[in-house]
Amino acid sequence: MSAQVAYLGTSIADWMAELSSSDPLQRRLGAYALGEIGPAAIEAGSALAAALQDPVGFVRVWAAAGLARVAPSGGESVPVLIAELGNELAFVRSLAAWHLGRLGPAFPGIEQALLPLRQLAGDKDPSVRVEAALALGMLEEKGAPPPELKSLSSRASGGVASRGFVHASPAIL
Amino acid sequence: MGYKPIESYGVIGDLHTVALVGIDGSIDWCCLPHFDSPSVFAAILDDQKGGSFRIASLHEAQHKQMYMPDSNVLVTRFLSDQGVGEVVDFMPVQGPREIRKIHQIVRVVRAVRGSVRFRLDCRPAFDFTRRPHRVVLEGRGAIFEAQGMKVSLVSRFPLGRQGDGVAAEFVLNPGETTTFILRQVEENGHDSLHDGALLEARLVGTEALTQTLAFWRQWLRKCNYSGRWREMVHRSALVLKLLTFAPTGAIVAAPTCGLPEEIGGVRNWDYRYTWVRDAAFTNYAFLRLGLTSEAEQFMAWLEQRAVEGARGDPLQTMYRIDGGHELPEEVLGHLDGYRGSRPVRVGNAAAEQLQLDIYGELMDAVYLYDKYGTPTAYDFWCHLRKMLDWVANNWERADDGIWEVRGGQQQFVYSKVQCWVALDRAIRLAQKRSLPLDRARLAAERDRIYEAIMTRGWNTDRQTFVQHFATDAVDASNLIMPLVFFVSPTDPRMRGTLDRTMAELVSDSLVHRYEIGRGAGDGLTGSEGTFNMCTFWLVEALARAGRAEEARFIFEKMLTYANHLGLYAEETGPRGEALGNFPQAFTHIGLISAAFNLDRRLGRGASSRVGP
Repeated sequence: MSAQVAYLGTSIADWMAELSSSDPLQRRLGAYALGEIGPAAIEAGSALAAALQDPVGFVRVWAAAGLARVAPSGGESVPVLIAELGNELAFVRSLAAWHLGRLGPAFPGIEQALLPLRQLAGDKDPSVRVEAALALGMLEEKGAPPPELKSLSSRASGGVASRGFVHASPAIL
Repeated sequence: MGYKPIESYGVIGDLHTVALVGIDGSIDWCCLPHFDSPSVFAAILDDQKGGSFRIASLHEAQHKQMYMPDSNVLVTRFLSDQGVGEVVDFMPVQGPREIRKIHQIVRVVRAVRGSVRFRLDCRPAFDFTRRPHRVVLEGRGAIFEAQGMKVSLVSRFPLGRQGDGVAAEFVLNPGETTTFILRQVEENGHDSLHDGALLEARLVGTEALTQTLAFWRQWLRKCNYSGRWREMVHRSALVLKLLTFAPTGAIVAAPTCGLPEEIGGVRNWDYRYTWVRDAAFTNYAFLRLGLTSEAEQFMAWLEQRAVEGARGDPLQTMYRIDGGHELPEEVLGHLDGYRGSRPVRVGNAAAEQLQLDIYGELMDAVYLYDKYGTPTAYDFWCHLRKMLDWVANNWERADDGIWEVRGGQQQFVYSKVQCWVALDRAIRLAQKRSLPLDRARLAAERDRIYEAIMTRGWNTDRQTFVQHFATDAVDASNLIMPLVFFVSPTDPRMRGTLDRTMAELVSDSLVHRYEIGRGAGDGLTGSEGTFNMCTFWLVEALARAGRAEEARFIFEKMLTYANHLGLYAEETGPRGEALGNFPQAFTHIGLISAAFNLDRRLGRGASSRVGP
């Protein structure tokens, strides 16, 4: 598929403008959109890099993820995502873990994320723990089956059945 | 956007409502929270403004669709050179004790091979597009809010506003999964995307998938059918269960409205209600398959209606799924209609018709439930006796008939046959259970009905039973006569009727219910397809008449008219296309009954020879 120069019909320049919006959700969307456009949005690299300092945690995470796709060799994204693994908000920690996993084992500098991700095994929030485990699966077991199934398999065997349902084998997919 | 063929849809549901999912990944029909609620997505009735929720691969891809084995979990697949993507769609089924009623469409999206780029477009249009809404983007998705209606969409990927909807494009790496959840909390239930349960839709969705699969598989395990065509029978049972409204046990005739019996035609009805006739037949199908708890629930619903009927008025032909009596018919003139098929109607004026046959179907359901389920309780029997008294006093009236013609009442033979069934089953039941009944009176009326049909419903010149007492036209509904033991399948009169029906109403093994323009006028212009239920009745009538191989050939041929998932609409058009509301209970009931009886007649290890 050829590189696209717009996302959802909106141009790079317009998405860059969103990075300056007063609404953090719009800034997040701008960062995501530029990432989806990818290297063709290289002109947005510095704006995305600036967004790594955004006052809102989830915007910083999405800016790091977007920058990783626009300029993969830049090396700025991984440290930001690792730092957000320690964010006080559980959903930001979970989001950062997810994005680290999505970068994949070949992404430059990703090995620095392995230890912090492992440390999240003791996180108080279950979704953070699971998301970190999934990310580790993505980064350590290249080519392995969908890791969340393994995770859920172990959860299912731990007896999470509720509302009268009985768990089927996780080999459903 | 354009309209897809009716047969290009699969169906998912949560026993309160359903969603139709196109083979292109687009949900084009869903009413929330219940079957007969106003629509949230109705692109099948107006492809421009009806509303839809599509998730599809952006690669040029072949589309495939399948159900996860033994379940109503649907998988839509996108196959391309770049990769293979899947969308797994389902609606979690809540247990009856859940206080907070939540209706969810869960869409698990996966890249199976290669990296796959997807696009999501969600554009609800509330109340058949009549209620405008506002879109609120939130950190974890979007909320669509109209007056009195609200749904939320949970997404891990940021959603962008697109008009009055939202959109997103995203890439999934090999083996990667993400989940979108569209949900509505029934009134009085607070909904927020900040709900802790929604923190990670991917994980919630995967667990819900496991539970939903388990629910359907556990349910289907109760089905005891082991004959031929088991996969198709199981699929039909799963469809019938999807059409069941769990809170009351009511069964809708079909979960859609306005899908036409002729493209561009006017026969576009709302089937999201419970017909006593269709539901009684469904009960029969469930009992045949050993699914007695569904039958039990439905009998409780039916008992309520019978109690109402015993107050002196006849039963209504149909009811709302909550048992309500009001179904005012309304034309939605602002909708395009499926491929321009107008008018689109909601509500159903046929509810006010007199259809005498429903008493026979009801009593047959009672009789069968007594036989295979639970013996009839005395209080229920007292209500039934009053209703039977009404039948004995009123069977000679003209009515609107099984086909709900809108061209005036007639003395329909099918209606008389079912009045006979009502009295006959009552007498049998009273005998079997030693229940009090004025047997002599009912037996006398039963026999009078019989003679009336044999004299006034029979045409000696044409050697066939006719549609009504004042016509020589045939009607496929008379194929039911041997199925309800009104007449022997090998009686010369039935043989003659079978031959005449095949000569005049059957085209390439498919059966028209009647010849439009002959017999009772249905009060409408245009044409219609062949009626699938009647084709299955033909199969049964032939099988019972000792023509099992012929029946088998027609049955096997009929199986080829199912869609890629084994689903049927009400009718089949001349090019094999599905017509009418979809999927339709009546057709799937017919399939189950025909398969059961044909299998029995073919016997174990019967010849595999197939031919006319």
